[in-house]
Amino acid sequence: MRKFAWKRTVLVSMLGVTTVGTIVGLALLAKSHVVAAFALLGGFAAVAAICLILLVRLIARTDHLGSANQELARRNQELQSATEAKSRFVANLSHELRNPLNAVIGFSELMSSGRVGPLDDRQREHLSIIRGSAQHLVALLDDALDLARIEAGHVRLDPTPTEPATVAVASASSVATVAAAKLIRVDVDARPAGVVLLDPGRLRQVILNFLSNALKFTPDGGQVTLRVQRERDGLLIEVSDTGPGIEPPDQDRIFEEFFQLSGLDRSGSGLGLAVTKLIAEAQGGQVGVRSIPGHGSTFYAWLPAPLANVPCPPAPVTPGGRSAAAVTRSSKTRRPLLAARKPDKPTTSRPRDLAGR
Amino acid sequence: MARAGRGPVLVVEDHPVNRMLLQRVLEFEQIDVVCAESIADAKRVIASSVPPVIVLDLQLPDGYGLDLVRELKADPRTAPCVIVACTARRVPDEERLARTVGCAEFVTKPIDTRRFASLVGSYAPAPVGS
Repeated sequence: MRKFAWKRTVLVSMLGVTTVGTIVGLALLAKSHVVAAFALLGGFAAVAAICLILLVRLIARTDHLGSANQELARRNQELQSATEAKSRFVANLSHELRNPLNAVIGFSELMSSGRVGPLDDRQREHLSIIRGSAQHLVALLDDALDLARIEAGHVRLDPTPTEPATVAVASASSVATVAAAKLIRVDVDARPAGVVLLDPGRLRQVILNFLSNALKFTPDGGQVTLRVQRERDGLLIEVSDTGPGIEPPDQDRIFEEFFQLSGLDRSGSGLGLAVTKLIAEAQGGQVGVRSIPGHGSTFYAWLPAPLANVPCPPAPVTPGGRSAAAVTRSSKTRRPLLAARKPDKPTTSRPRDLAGR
Repeated sequence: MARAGRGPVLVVEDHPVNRMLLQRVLEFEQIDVVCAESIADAKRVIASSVPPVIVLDLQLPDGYGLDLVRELKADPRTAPCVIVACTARRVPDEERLARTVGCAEFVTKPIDTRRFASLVGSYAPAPVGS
């Protein structure tokens, strides 16, 4: 209706201009200046009237837009507070569940250690299932908490001068136990990327999420490769595996919350990749996957990471922060600056020595 | 008090089962443990004897653990105490805050019992005369 009225106005205006033009032209040909002047005057009056009508309509429309905007802002506010309430709820739930889970995991560990009394193989197996399931719950809580926080806009990025290769090697080390249990070889190909400005904790989280995902789907004896290199003004992180691969329709959905591939291990939370995507996007990066079914997959993330104008990274990366290292401690010794760089030869990760002080 | 082990370590934790877990884990390492359930309780213990190591839950019924840390670090008598913060919450920056106010270590629940024992053990002094 409104659209039609605008079209009509334009049409009438064009018709008017043509008519006035014709009259003026004819009048000039007939050398009747008075008629031409009147025709021009009439034309101007008509144009002025049309402009006035358009102006009135524009004002009415702006008013309407203004109130629609207010309504939208109000709804946005409501949505934001609902998201924050959800985030708070998840945080409280996570805290309340962690205490009993601490007891479940702790006491199963104490019993498994054999210090409480001798155990037969069956009992040891059952204890390990109890502990594994509780740890799975903790990982689920971690991911749910992360997701809720990022959704509520509470993701705080702390860009600090970081040596990506060091973070890559440390992250690979922290999955070494899981990899060794499945006889999976983890190679780290971390090209010298210089010291860049990004949040090392978030980088670590992206790498760890990709690595644990790859380890989960790679069959025993397979191989997982982590590559980190500079690309454009950022950092490209790629994790390839020798797993079953992902069918094209599933590739589009793999980063969705709670999406799990059918027929495969469902021990994950189904949130890890969704969290990774949100973390990458929160800092202006992106994620994706390339896969040929039957030939493994490569998950990648690109994060903006400008070169830092500092000679060396300041603090060493604090291990832990996720369930992989439940007891965290800061290392008091600094890693050698470029110890992690092995540009020519891939490095097979080794478990980090946590015992030494 | 006939104590043969290292320490003692004061465990401040309001959750009864977790208190029991921390106590058992440390006692298996021959570390003597004294327990407290709240900040007030902890202050009573510290008033009678200052432990070399304190394992401190941060969410306690009568206050925030790090407030106690600030108090202990401000008092020359208790300032040398090694404090290991132990929390079930995952709050960004809490570790940095804990270290800033004077915690030597920051541990999140669920704990890895073996690492926790060796971590706390590394601060617990050997018994006098051994």
